[in-house]
Amino acid sequence: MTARRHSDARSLVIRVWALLAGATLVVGWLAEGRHVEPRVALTVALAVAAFKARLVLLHYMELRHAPLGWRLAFEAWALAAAGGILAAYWAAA
Amino acid sequence: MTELTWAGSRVTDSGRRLPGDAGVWVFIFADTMAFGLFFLLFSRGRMGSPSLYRDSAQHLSVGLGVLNTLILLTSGALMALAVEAARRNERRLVQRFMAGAIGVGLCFAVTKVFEYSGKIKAGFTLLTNDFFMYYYVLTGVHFLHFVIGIVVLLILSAKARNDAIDAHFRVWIESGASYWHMVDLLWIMLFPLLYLQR
Repeated sequence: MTARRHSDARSLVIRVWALLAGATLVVGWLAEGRHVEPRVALTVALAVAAFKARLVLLHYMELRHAPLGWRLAFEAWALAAAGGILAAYWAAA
Repeated sequence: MTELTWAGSRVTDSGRRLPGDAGVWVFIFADTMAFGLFFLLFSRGRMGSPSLYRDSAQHLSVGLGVLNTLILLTSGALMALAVEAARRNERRLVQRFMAGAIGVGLCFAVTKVFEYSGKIKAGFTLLTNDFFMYYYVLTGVHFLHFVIGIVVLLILSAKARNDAIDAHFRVWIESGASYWHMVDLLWIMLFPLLYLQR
């Protein structure tokens, strides 16, 4: 049982890595390739950044097992950082 | 409810706990808040002269930004695997994953030096304009965190060779890994902030 839990934990780390790397490549492709309008690309990039930050916080920094206050504080930080950058970008657009 | 066999720091009544040392988490929180303030200052500056920031950002390489993101994410994943191996008392695996995390992590320094020297050669310095001032200060402060992280990983790697892989070591490796993931976390936000607001 313990061995299985460990193998699950390892496969979770690898699956999260694949998701993070895939999301990064998609954002790079959108930004570099001029496939979409820059404003759309940036909006997608910041939504993806918030998503990636949350994955790192919950799974690599293991906040999914942390006291709720810590978890919520960091999740709020990720949301506020991405949301704040995006709001300022649109306000100046 | 916890899924893993936890060892190390305090566990609350509900079984919830922070990995590693709580003091490290206070530092991580303060640091991420400080970077949040940097993001705010940058964004305020950008609102004042959006076209200057937009034109300046065009001179940064998205490819290098993506590469640096992938490097840190991969190094972070290897570090998470090292922590997981430490929980199983698998010293060899801890050492291998840590060597991987350090080796891949060091590539970040290589691409960063390449990037900085390219920018300086092209005439973009700290004094060029506000955008490049923020670019050098924010990535420079982040790079300092990266260097500290590499030193921490090297110390942990030596401990993994010489010390027992016990509850005490697990607190050390969890603390170091949490810090290392923070370096990654901050870059995840710095990348769109600096490279993608075109």
